Formats: sequence, C-alpha cells, structure tokens
Amino acid sequence: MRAEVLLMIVAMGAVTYLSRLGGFLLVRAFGVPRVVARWLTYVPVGILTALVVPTLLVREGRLHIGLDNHYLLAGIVAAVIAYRTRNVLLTVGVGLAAVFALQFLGSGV
Amino acid sequence: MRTNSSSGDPVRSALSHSIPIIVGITPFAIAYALLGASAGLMPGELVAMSMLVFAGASQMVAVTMLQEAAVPVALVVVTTALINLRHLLMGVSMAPHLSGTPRRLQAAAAFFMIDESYALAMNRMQRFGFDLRYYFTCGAVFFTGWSLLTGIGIAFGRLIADPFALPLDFIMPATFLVLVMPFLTSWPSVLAGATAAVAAVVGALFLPGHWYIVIAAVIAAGVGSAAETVAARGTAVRQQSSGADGAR
Repeated sequence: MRAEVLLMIVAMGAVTYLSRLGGFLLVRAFGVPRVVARWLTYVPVGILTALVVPTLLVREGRLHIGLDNHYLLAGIVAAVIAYRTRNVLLTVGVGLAAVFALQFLGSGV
Repeated sequence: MRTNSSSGDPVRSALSHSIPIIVGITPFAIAYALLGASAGLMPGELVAMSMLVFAGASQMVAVTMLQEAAVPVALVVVTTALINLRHLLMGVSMAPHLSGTPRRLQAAAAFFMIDESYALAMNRMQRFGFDLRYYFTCGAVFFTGWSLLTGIGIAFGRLIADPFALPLDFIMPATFLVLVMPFLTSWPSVLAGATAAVAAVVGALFLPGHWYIVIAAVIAAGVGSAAETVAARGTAVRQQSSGADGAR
C-alpha cells in the first residue's frame, strides 16, 4: 500500500465518519424540540425517495420522460412489485428483467 | 420483510432483511473493484477503502475520479464529504432513538450507518421501537458483505461476469423502492414522498453534485410534518365537536 493513497483513504474515511457521527453530536448538543421531532419522522421517506426518483427520471442532466426511458418504465413495474410484496430480490429481479426486455424490444424496432 | 404482529428475534429478522439486499450490492462491488483496479489502486487499497469509508456511492465516484492520474487528492476527499453529507441528516433523525444508549455504542452505531441499515432500522423502529441488536446485525452484514465482495471482485471480478453489462444504476434504486414502501403509512408521508420526488428531480436538474438528496429530504420532511400538523388540528376539532355531540 502506498502512503499517499492510504492517506487519501483515511481522509475519505474520516470525513465520511464525521458525517455519520455529526447527527448524533448535534442532537446531543441541542436536543430535539417537538416540532423538529415531528419533522424528523419524515426524513427517511424524503431521503429514500430522493435516492430513487432522479435515477429513474434524470439522464445526463436532462429530464427524460417517455416510452424510450426504460428505467422509468421498469421502475414503475418494480414499484408495483415493491409495494405488493416488499420483497427485495423479487423487485430487483423483475425490474432487471423489465429493463432487459425493454432494451431488447427497443433495439428490435 | 413480512409484516408480523410480533417482533420476533431481532437478529434473525435483521439477517433475513439484510442478506437479500447484499445480492443487489454484489454487482456494484464487482464494478467498484474493476474500476478501482483500472484506476491503478492496489487490492489492499481497495479493500481498505471499503472498510474505512464504507460508502459505496462515494467510493464509486472516487475510483471514477482517480481514472485521471492528475486528479488532486483533496478534490476526491471533498467530493466524498459532499456525497456523504446526507448521513448528517440521517444521523439527526436516528439519534433521538439512541439517546439512552452509551456514547461508545452511539459512536459505533454511527460507523455502521449506511442508507440500507438506516432504512431497515428506522422501518423496524416504526413498529417495534429502535432495536440496537437489529441495527448492528444489519450493519455487520453490510460491512462484512461489502468488504468481502470487494475482495472477491478484485480476485474473480473478470471471471464472474461483466458487471457493466448490468444496469447498475437501476439496481440500487430498485432496492430503495422496497425500503421506502414501509414509510408510506399515512397521507402526510405519501405527500412527503411526492414532494421529495419532485424536489429531488428539480434539484438533480439544476443543482451541482449530490446536493439534491439532502435538500429534497429537508423540504419533503417540512411538507410532511406541516401536513401532519394540519391533520392533527382537523382531528382535534372533529373530536371536540363529536365530544360535544356525545355530551347531549
């Protein structure tokens, strides 16, 4: 292992760990007023949705809505499976199959 | 992830919830290993990064940046910090549930906070309260899985399959689709989700980097909690009037 690479990795690890610990430190220092506690209950849904939706709708910095957006169509299929089954393997599997099927159909036309 | 009325054994539940997610992480780990190798990183360095940073998305961006020999190290570190900024928000929302936990355990809990362990633990918390054994089991599964898969990807990546033949950027969102569903329990939470969707797309279009995740979550939580407040007032008013009716 090279020293300068290891140093970079340690620095990356440090800033990442601080981002993870920071929330605990903030809450310890300032507590959580009731208004904030209510607000916090909606943070998980906000973060997880924000992780999903742009990857399905935004491609190379542009909004991509249409039948040629395979991720969007497959994502809708996956969302239905996710809602009904709550099964990760099934959702990812069917979603992937949908992406491949759409790519196959798309390339055939 | 079946909804049980009893909480069951937290360790066993954690294993059965987290191990399927590892399957979706596998091609991601192989892609990371291959990209890292082509960036000139040595196997030990790649595994060390997985164990010390333990944040897939930022590691992927880092090894992509490092494909260029001249990239400044400071830029890689700053980019890592920006991508991982969302943990701050996740930590704030998780911390109140660990306020009675010893500080050393809180410090350890912070290390294992990734999107997946956070989502699973917060989902279980909604139904059974926050369970450290469940959380740490999930964290250990993801940490072990990510580190091991990095090593496997380095050793056998090229032999197993071409991970880039898979739509990698579809697999993670599909996983998170399942993880977000249990949080959509009320109309304010659905409204918060819809707000996050719109805000994240607008943010991804117009804001640089990964800022859109944190900003969308902040706005969505504001809308969700405002909706809950309005709903609670409505219920209070109705209860008052029905209480008056009942007093007749």
